[in-house]
Amino acid sequence: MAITIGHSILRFDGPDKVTGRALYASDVRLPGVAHAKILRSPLPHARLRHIDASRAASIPGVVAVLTRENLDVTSPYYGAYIKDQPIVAVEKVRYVGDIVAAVAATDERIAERAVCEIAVEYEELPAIISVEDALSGTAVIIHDENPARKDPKYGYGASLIPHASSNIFYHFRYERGDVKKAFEESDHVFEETYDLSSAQHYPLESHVSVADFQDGQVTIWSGTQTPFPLRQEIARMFGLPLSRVRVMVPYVGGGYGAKSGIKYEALAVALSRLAKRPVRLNLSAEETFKTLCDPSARVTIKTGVKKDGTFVARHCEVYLNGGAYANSGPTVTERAGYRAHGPYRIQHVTTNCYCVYTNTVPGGAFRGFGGPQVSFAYESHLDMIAHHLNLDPLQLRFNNLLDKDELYTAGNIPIDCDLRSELKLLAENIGWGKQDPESRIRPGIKRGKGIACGVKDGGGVNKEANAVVKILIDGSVILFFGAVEIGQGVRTALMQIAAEELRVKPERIQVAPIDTAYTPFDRGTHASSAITVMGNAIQAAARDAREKLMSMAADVFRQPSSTITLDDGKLFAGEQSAFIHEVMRRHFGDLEGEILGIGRFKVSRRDDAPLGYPATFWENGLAAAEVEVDEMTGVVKLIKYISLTDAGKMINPLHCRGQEEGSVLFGIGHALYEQLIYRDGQLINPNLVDYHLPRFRDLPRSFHSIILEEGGGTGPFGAKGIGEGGTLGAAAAICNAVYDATGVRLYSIPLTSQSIWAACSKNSETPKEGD
Amino acid sequence: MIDSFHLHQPESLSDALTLLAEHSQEVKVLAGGSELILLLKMGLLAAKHIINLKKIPDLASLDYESSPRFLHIGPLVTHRALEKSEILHKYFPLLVEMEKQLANVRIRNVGTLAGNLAFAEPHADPGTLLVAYEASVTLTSVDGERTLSLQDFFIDFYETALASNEILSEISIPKPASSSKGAYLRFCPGERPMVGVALLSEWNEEICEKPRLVLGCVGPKPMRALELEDWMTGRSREDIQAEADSLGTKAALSCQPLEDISGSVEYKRQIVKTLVARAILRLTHEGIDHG
Amino acid sequence: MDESLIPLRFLLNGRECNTEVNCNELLIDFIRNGLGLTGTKRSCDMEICGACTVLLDEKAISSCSVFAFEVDGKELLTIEGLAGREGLHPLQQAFIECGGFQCGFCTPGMILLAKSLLDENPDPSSEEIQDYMDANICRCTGYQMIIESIQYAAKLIKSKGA
Repeated sequence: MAITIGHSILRFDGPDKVTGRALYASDVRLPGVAHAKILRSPLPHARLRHIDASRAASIPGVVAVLTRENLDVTSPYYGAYIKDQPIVAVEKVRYVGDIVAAVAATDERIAERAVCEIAVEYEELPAIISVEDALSGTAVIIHDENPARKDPKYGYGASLIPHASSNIFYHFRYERGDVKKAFEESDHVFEETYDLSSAQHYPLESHVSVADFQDGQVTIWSGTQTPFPLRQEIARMFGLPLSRVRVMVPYVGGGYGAKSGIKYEALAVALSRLAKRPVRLNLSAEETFKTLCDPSARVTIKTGVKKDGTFVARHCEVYLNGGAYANSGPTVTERAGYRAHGPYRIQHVTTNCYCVYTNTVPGGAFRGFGGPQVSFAYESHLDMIAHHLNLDPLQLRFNNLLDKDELYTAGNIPIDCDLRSELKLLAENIGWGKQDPESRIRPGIKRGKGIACGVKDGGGVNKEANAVVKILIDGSVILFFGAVEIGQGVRTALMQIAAEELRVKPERIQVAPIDTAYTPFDRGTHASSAITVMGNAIQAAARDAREKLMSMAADVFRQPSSTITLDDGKLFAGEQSAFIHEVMRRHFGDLEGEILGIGRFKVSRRDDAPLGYPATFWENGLAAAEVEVDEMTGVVKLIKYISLTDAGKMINPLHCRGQEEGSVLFGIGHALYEQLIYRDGQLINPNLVDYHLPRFRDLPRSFHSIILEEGGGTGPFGAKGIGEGGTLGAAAAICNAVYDATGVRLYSIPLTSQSIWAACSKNSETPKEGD
Repeated sequence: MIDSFHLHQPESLSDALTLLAEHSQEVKVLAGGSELILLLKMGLLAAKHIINLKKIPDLASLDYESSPRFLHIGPLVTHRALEKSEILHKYFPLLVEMEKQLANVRIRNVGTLAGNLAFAEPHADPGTLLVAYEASVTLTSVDGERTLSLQDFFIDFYETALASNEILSEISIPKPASSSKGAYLRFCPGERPMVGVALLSEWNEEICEKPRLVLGCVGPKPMRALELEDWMTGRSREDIQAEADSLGTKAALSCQPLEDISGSVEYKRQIVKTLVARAILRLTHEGIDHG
Repeated sequence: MDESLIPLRFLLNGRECNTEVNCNELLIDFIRNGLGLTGTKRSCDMEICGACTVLLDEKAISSCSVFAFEVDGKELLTIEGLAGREGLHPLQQAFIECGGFQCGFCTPGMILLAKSLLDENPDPSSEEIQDYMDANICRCTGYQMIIESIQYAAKLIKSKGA
């Protein structure tokens, strides 16, 4: 009987967070800390001709001014895959908001004033905002410095196509079969183009870095999702051994990908080194908007089908606007490209996915990670195919969806859940095929239903996770692992896994805070990976500790190990039994002692896997929406929304529901409201007045999340990761519902009320009124 | 980060007015502070002197005299106080409906109606409805008092008739006749309303009298649609209802909205048209009673 | 120009507090730095998100947009003052039990806003909760579990007879 798995035990961070005791990076207080402010580029693209910080440096209270003149690092450039982003601008600035220089002072006001005193001479260059402009023959090359890059080795069907002298900085290609021939042999070929806007994560806690560089040792407090890659970058850039860089992660006020990878930490470290005191950099909300975004996308999708709607071939061309720096753009590109053809049985596939430099906010990791961009396209496109062939879109999905255990591509784990029966359940819940009697009451108000099914390969690629379980002499336990608590509840859930394996109550277990000096290596908290990748490492560590404990008990009881059992904090051998702490005391005697269990997990490389590594699991996001459209105003109301995902096995059901529903609101926000708007290279809505985040009022009138436990996960107890599925189905489900309601197809999100009204009135037969 | 200033906390209105006259160009008045503090934080305003009105007693009064039936609103009355006021619920329910939708409850707890009107943010609700009510404002300075119609008080985007030595000391709203009905509709996809439409009128049996139709947020200030008011005057409920759509169209063409982040000119006109038509239907069907 | 110090006498989380503050200091900075209470969070800095919500004379306000000197003569409640000697406030208990928080950054403000709702309306419907709480933003939970937390808290308060 499970001690804790499947139970919604209360989160251990709960009391801290509801009382205000929880410390975030923005709450870290160090004696003598100086406060930093950043000088940002006012221009989208310019050469840095001259920079003079002498006046700023002379202001009383200023303790350091950092410019390219005094950067003094082994390497000023960082980046997850392409090292193209400098700590402060070296030759050029590449977007409005790009970091030019920074000041640290005894208080924020002085730092702010000093920033204004830094004199900069720019030589303006032509600015490129759109992907089209970036790819035109006459486009200026945004990165002409040939940055160092780490390119992956792909497997079967996938390749990386280099582009010299181009703003394309990553081109992923996947192919199988013979698409050209297959199109020729298809009964019908359909081609459409879909656009998805750029969005902002808006974690409520902005980016915060506190750094202390002293005596060749660096200590950083940061709300980062990736403490170890951060440590690696800092060590490399400052020419330090890894052992002298220490990263501590307090509570994090929201991540969603925004805090994945190095952000401002190197800047804070450089300032601290200059100032010879700790430095704190706490960004404003506007600066958060100007740090990272979800790359906008244009997806052209072409499908060849048989008369009966069976998919035969698919060709996708995906263009991502990567912004000014590569960031995680390369991996988003590769994933979007890999995911572009959708969870369908299609023999012939070609996908090209390009990430393009422009002079806009850098695009990178964002909840869904390229999945939403392509699922919006392929699920909307499928409905249009159904419409053209006069088929029910639900039936068309049933006909083509991959079965459980079928391969998405060769070289990967098979689909680990029953998508078809999930879709059936979803359709029943939304009342597919049934019309609501209310739906015909008012003229100009139309109702419709839409459905969507998206998957993404989950768990990341080449992710190494390590964990340590320490059983102390009194039988209490400390866990050490680097999965970051960004809100998902993962540190409690991982503790539950350890408790289950050790057969002790969760209250006996303490989770150690993250400190890279003590915490074993972990690649990062992203890709919905923690419960599987780190879960497996924790499970292995707990089993290792348990085995050592049982072997110790065998010794103490003088019985063979095979006879020892462990349950409810007690060890048993036939008639003998003793609590864990009794066994340990008897073993260690007067000396204190402890048991260390060590565990590691990493999915092994497979040379035939297209991305070099198979997925850890398949994350799915199904959605059904019933909408009501007011054709006069274009306003869309969500009447009913059902989301569905498969968690394999829910370690903590309450957490799972929270993550699923949170991801749905992300999806709804992007579908209906969220977009970054540029005018003349300036981002004109970097604040919450002009950028619409979903609020309580935006909840669907009826909203249910269904989380299944199909048991097919490779994580502990059959668990799979969740938390991004809600972003996969939302846009297409809503657009498909709007189409069902009005007969109008929208090819671009967000579906603002203006765009819906414009499309509806263009579609209607009465002449448009206006000026 | 707000620069330092001299803070004055007078305990009488006359002291406040004297200070205002003394520091004239360099002083800002602090009532609720929502707009003021945001502008100071953004560096769009600087203030060497700030006069905090909140230590002055009796400025948060909400007074309803039965004769001659005016609602008098003091300068420190918050949106939340109006929203919760029993007097308003009983006699000015349309005002309650408008206040309930304004911004969010935190802003309503602190922000004042007077402050809102004096700031003259074009994307705002109160001005539109209060112009329809034919509200007036009293402006007080060391030199005395003067009263203007609210319509004349608004001059342009963020510009009012308030002189630098004046305080908006009272808003007066006449109680509409017992036959009055009204509607306030707003379109607010984001944080600030994109369009606001206020419609009030009296009825002599089935005949419309003294209609007031105000279009808000689609120009530098709330705008009465005088031609449409003229047309509606003396017409029957049935006739007006039948013409709701075409009246909406005329209203849309009568205003000059500006394109901005919330919408194009064409779309804003579409919303004006729709809201005016719907306001008319609500007025002629079930508009909120003022009896 | 010298910064002028304004004397303050007010109730902080039920206790009398005598101090002084610079006139240009915002309430949120006074709370976080002057008083060392870091439970109140800064996010959007323009009264939209509500992460900085505190209760002043029992009314929910945005501490990012109010001067510190305005608390003079008043009662200020921050998240640190909510739990009593008997333990967590029912709202705090409910948010834990019903999953009303995830990353926790909006949580102090959200809980205080909810308190002001329940103080005024002890038995709100789901629509009333949604309407009132619309003032504050959460990026993690998807809102439904916050609504359920508040409904549960209302039940807890009722059963306590408080």
